[in-house]
Amino acid sequence: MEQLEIKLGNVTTRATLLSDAAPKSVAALKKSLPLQGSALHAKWCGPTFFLVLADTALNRLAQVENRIHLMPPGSVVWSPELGELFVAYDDARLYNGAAGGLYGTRLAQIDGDVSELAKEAFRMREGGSKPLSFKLADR
Amino acid sequence: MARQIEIELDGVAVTATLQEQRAPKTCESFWSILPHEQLVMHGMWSGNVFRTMEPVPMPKDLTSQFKYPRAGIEDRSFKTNMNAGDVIFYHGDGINEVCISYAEGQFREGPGGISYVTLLARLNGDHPNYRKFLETCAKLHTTGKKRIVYRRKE
Repeated sequence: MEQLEIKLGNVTTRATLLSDAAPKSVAALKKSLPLQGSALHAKWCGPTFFLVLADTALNRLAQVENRIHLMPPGSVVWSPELGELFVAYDDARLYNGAAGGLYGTRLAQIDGDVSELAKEAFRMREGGSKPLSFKLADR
Repeated sequence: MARQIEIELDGVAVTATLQEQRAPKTCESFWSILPHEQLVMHGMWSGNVFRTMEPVPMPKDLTSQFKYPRAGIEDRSFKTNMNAGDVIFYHGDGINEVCISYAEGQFREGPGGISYVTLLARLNGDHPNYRKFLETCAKLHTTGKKRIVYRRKE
């Protein structure tokens, strides 16, 4: 199974790409990689952080596959409506502000424990934005 | 004239009017603990809102007086949505928080959904620092925690 390498600040983790469940979206993500920028912590969605994307293969795919609203810890979720690539580090929900819930595409799932990522995300809430990057992991 | 408070965030001060007609006991209690200083950080469920990081030391007998619309909430306007400049008091599960919204917000208790809050004060929109204060609030999302001071304005 192909894997995604996610780095937030000083914490690096791996997630398994869900190519069978979301084939078009995972293919678009792979075309879009590598991605890097400043992570933002969610204001509405709970314990999750995201990267805003504007002009990638993912942005050109309007379809939602493998749809998800409740984002469990470790899920990597793309929202076509928001243009945001989320990583949840605890139970989170995909919201469009006060307007209500959204469905997004679950693209990948982090393998194993997310506690170090959660600590780094909390440090981001306290200390400000951190660099966030996504790339295809070496096999 | 309704009582005034001064709120200073990261060196930018603005005034606000206590909403004594809506929540007289909560406003009186808050007034009694001023000045109050602590750290605030951006919220993650309620939108454009930041909150106190430590419990606000309101008098212990305050919140037990109110059961409706929910425990600890005095304001019966069923307020969940917040507009820019709203200063709200939230009591839940032993937590006392004061939050300020700098744009649209909707108070949520985590993934469980929306919750009622007490409108404690409103920032005075005619204050010369009003806009700068809201901009300072918005920066909390990317800069992290900052110090806030609530004072009486007499």
